[in-house]
Amino acid sequence: MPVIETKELTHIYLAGTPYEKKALNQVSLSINKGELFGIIGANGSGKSTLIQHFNGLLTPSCGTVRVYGKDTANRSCRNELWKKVGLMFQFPEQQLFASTVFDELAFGLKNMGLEGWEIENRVEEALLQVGLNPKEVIKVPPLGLSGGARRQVALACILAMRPTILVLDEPTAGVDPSASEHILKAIKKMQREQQATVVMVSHYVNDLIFLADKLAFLKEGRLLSYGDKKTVFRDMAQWDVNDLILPEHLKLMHRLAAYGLPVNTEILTLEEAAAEISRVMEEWARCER
Amino acid sequence: MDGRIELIDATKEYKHAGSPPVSALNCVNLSIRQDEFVGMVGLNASGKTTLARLLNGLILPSRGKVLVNGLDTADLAQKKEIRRLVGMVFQNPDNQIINPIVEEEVAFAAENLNLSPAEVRRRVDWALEVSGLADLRHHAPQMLSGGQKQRLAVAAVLVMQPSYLVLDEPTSMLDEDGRYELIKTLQDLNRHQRLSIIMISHRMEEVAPAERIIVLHQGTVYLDGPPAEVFRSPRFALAGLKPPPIARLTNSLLRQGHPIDDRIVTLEQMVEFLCR
Amino acid sequence: MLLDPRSKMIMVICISSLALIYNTPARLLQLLLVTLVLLFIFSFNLRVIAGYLKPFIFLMFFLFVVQSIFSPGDRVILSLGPVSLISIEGVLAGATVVLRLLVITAAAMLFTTFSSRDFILGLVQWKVPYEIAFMVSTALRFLPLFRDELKNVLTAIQLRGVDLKKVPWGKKMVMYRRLTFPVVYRNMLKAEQLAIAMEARAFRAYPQRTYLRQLNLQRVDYVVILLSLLVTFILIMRYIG
Repeated sequence: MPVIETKELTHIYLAGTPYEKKALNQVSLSINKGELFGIIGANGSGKSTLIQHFNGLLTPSCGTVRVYGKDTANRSCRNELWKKVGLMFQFPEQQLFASTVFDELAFGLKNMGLEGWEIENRVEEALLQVGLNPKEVIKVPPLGLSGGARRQVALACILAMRPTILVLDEPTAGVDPSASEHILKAIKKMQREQQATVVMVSHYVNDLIFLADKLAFLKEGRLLSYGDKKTVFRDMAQWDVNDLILPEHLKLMHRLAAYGLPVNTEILTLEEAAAEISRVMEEWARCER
Repeated sequence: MDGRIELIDATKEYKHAGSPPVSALNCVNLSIRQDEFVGMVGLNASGKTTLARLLNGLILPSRGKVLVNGLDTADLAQKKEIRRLVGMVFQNPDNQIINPIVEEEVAFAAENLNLSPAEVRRRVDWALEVSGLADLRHHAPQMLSGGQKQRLAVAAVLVMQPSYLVLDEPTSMLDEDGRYELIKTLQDLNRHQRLSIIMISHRMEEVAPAERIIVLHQGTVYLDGPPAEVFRSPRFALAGLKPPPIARLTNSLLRQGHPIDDRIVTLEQMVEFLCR
Repeated sequence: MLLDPRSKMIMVICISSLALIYNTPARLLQLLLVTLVLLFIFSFNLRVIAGYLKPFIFLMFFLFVVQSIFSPGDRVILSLGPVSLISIEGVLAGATVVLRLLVITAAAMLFTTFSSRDFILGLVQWKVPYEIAFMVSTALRFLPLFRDELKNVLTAIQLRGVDLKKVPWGKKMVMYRRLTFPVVYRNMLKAEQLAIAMEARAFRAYPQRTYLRQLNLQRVDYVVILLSLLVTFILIMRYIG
């Protein structure tokens, strides 16, 4: 059952001015409940614009976007979306402003009309979810934490509101491997335990191979491929001229195949890549004997 | 010239009111030659950034010494020379660029060195050339892509003709294209201009082509050696890090008994090996 | 037209002085038109200015209304019972204030028609110490960054359920005040990083520094400067006398 559906979604910034830019061009996709949907694309491909439509921050210039069946062009629908759709921008630590971590998380919760004790519970729960120790960080000013910890706090702010759809723009960009792991674990856990739908834009295609159920590939505002991972990677190899976005082991497979080696380029994981190369090397060893 | 940067028992402590001093770096002994390409990795709070800042005298060690080509960073009289020898590029290009025109941005450091106008012009042209920005010299930095901005930051430092270039997570805010351009530029600089590159990164694939990798963990040098060795060492995982995909591939194939070169850690190396 | 930034600076000073001295809407309007013509001559894109000023239209209008109400006058236009609200004098006073603001803003835009480096260079050649000129120029550069930071944080708040249009003015003020600290703090961090980057590029390492270009006052510059000063002087004398 699709929770998010777009039909021929087009978005034009500054329409009618000399600075007009078509950020999205007839994008049609649907995301089902409980899915982890990955979005891949270079800078300028329209990824960030696309996800802002999912919580009503932006409305389409043409086409429609439906969340839980309701059209986001509708004002009353948009006013309710922020509770259900948690959106985390790139480098969210730039948006932290409260004087303590507790206040930071409590801000959104107060706006939802929750009581004091409920707020405390949720704050503690959310901090644990992202891998932070509530006792250590609750009274600390967010601006005083390390980069990775601030990212975790920003994610906790969203998780505390218990959204049913989580939309994340590059959640692990620029953070160290340890914080990155905590964040991805929290996301996966939320998807599993609360059947949340997760939409994730990421450059770290390696992570998406494990986490995502479906993928979408955007280039210059157009949706060039969408669906299961293997299909999308196959399509990406065609469009991705410099072969830059694909993860290393897939790049390797394509390079080897281009050279004439009999490897299967439709693999996904590193282990499969190892198996392919292993097979080829055994073949060589056999031929030599 | 056989120069090197040496850290001798370098320790850096930060004092906070009311609590015991926090040790960011603990008794580090390190030596980096003038033409090495070094990758520096480690978790946050491992001391990487502190160490990077010690290398050009931006901060001074609480104990121990840092010597750049024999000059002590604690010696104020040598500050100018050290700053010239060790260039630094930071994570966020927007916080490093001051001028509204690319050419002027590059000229800034050369002007500060009080060189003759002809020399300034010569160096600016050279720096723009080796960073691949010659066509963009009259553009506004704000209009450049992330990768171009970082290359501009590199050019702005190159104009001082340093012997060492330290980059603190230069690629974290860049997309694939930008990252690829920047790293290629750095490799060219190392190979053709004989510049020592010291690059801090979170992404193991980026440091895999380096000739040497230094792993920092909790303020000390945990591992130091050629990439293949470092990635294979059990201490690597203890430092909280995972080897890059190709290195893992190599290890997996080695375990299965295949005759693969155990030094392979990058895509290029693997392709070269398998396609010969 | 390539004028030395210093000539433009003199023009801005002249226009601003006149703006402060003139006290009627008619004259200020004339001054505004002259300034806009000058901006146009220096190939300034008027559409961009209009874009910049749009968010301030409401503020300007608000200012106009407030000034009009609080400036007493005899010829009443609007009254609520025995209390006179707006008089013609009041309206004129309001218009004066707004126009003055517009003139000074437009004049300040002339500063954007040349690069900050030329600005610094010009000042240095007039014997202003380099550090001071540099500080002024960098400070000017930081203003749009403050605006961006504020926008960032406001977006964050909207994401967590605050509809900015529905928030009453009183609460809005409290909110802005609370946000001031993190915005200022973050900008200070940026400034610090910038300072570190500059230090790493030998800023102030030597007592002297080279300047790649030289700014030379051309004949046209002298003409412009003299003309601006002369015209301003005459206008002031006529206005006072």
